Amino acid sequence: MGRVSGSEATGLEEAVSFGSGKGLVGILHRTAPDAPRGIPILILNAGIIHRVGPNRLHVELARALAARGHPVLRFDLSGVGDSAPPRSSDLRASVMADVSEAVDEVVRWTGAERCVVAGLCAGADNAFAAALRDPRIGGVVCVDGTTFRTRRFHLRRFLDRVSNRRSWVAFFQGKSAVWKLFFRLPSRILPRRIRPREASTGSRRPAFYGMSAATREETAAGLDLLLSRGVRLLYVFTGGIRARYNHATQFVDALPEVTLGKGFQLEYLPEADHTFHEREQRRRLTGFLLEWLANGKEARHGIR
Amino acid sequence: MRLSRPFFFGGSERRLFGLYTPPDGPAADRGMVLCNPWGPEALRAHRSCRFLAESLARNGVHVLRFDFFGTGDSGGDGRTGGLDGWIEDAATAILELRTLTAARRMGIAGLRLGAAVAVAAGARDRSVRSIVLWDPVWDGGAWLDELGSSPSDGDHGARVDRGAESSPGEVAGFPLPAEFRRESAAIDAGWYGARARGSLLTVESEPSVKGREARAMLEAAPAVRKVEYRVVPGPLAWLEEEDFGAGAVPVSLLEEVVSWVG
Repeated sequence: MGRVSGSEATGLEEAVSFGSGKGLVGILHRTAPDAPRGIPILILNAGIIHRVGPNRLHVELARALAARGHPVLRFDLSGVGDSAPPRSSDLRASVMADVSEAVDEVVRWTGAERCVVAGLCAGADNAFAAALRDPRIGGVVCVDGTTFRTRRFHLRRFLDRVSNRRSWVAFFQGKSAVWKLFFRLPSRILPRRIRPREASTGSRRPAFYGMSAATREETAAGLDLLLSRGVRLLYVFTGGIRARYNHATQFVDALPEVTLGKGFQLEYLPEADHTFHEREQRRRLTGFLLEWLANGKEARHGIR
Repeated sequence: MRLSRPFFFGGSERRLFGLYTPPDGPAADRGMVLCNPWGPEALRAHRSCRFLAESLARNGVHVLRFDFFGTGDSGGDGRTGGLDGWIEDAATAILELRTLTAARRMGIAGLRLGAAVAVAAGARDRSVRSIVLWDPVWDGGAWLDELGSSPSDGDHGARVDRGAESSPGEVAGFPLPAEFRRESAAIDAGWYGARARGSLLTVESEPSVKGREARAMLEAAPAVRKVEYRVVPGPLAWLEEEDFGAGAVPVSLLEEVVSWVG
């Protein structure tokens, strides 16, 4: 690893360039020599926001984790922040190669056999996908990652809307989504031969930042695989994505076929927004993560 | 592929994160320090600042980008300090770039609040010959109000029904120490006029009345040798494009800056 320290750098944080061609840029948070030795953690980019994270969330998290004995590497994926451009046009493959190189570095640097990978939004999806490929990843933290809608989600959304004054204002102004549905109705109920033509919606696979996210079935299969491998999973959802996730148990409700054992934990932060603008919510997220890490092998299956 | 070198510099009590981008050509003697905007504006403009650094380096300039203390990857949690400390940080960065390289003809550029820092830090260092003010904050009070009342667009940045207010003592998710609030609120055209020195380029993405007032102030400033004022319409680097948490890169404007630096 090409570590470069300033002339008077005496802190525990170190700027690093690593990976093939030293094209990946990151910050290593070392632990104090007398700190307990915890599992190392990688923090991935939230979308295209550089390694600092939204509202400096990743810096705060990394410092809190390092203070509890967890070495942290937060870094920029290829093409993001200050890292070199991706090595191929296959973005998913590029991301997976980057994470694999980051795991190499953190394993070599700490001597640990396994590490945890954490991410927010697209970072959560990348963390999940990386864990499926790399057996050295022993834990995954997904914050506001891909989720799936359920009947209960739609019911709650409907109730939220009918009880919301702004929805009625939009309805009477003709801006409500209800009107779009209404005008699409003929294409759904009329016999096929006399339906008005509708543009094809193409694939139903969701996509983030040019990469397709896992489908429900792929997610279920992935969870099965990771849990059978003993990988611990912490899923956190916030109120900031209530257009996609609106109640505490939605993630497990959407995946009834998966047996979520003690290695799985789900937390819901309805008061938090997606990028954790509030200091108190950043603290709560940090608290969940520290508690989850401290629970270690005694992890429970819990939903709050 | 141009690689920047990340490192920490500054004293042990005030560690600053920097990224040095080496120039094309072996014997470059020009150096440029880039000063970030503040808070959410800095996050969104990160791509544009990188683009500017790499473009300058391609034109034979040693470039150092850095994070002010308490921001980005630098030390500190942002709950103390303010503008005066950041002006000192910029002065430290100029010295670091001179120490690190053969650059002797120095320049400093700043975006938004970084422009206010750049003009003050540039005035203190005799090696600084050119100062670039990129979409400067001309009215600190209005800027603070704007930050406190502009929620992000879209689902991804949505607050939870509480407007843009984040936490007590914070604005838009970033700590706003009382000292910093007071110092920022004092920024106006006269503030720039009182500090400016040497050759200046003021470049804006859209013409502004405040910009014209400031130009008059800068032209009248006794220590200013030359002022150029350009408007290059384009995207505003510090505002969120869609809901990506990042702004678009104003390529034409940045090419104008590179051309002026020469």
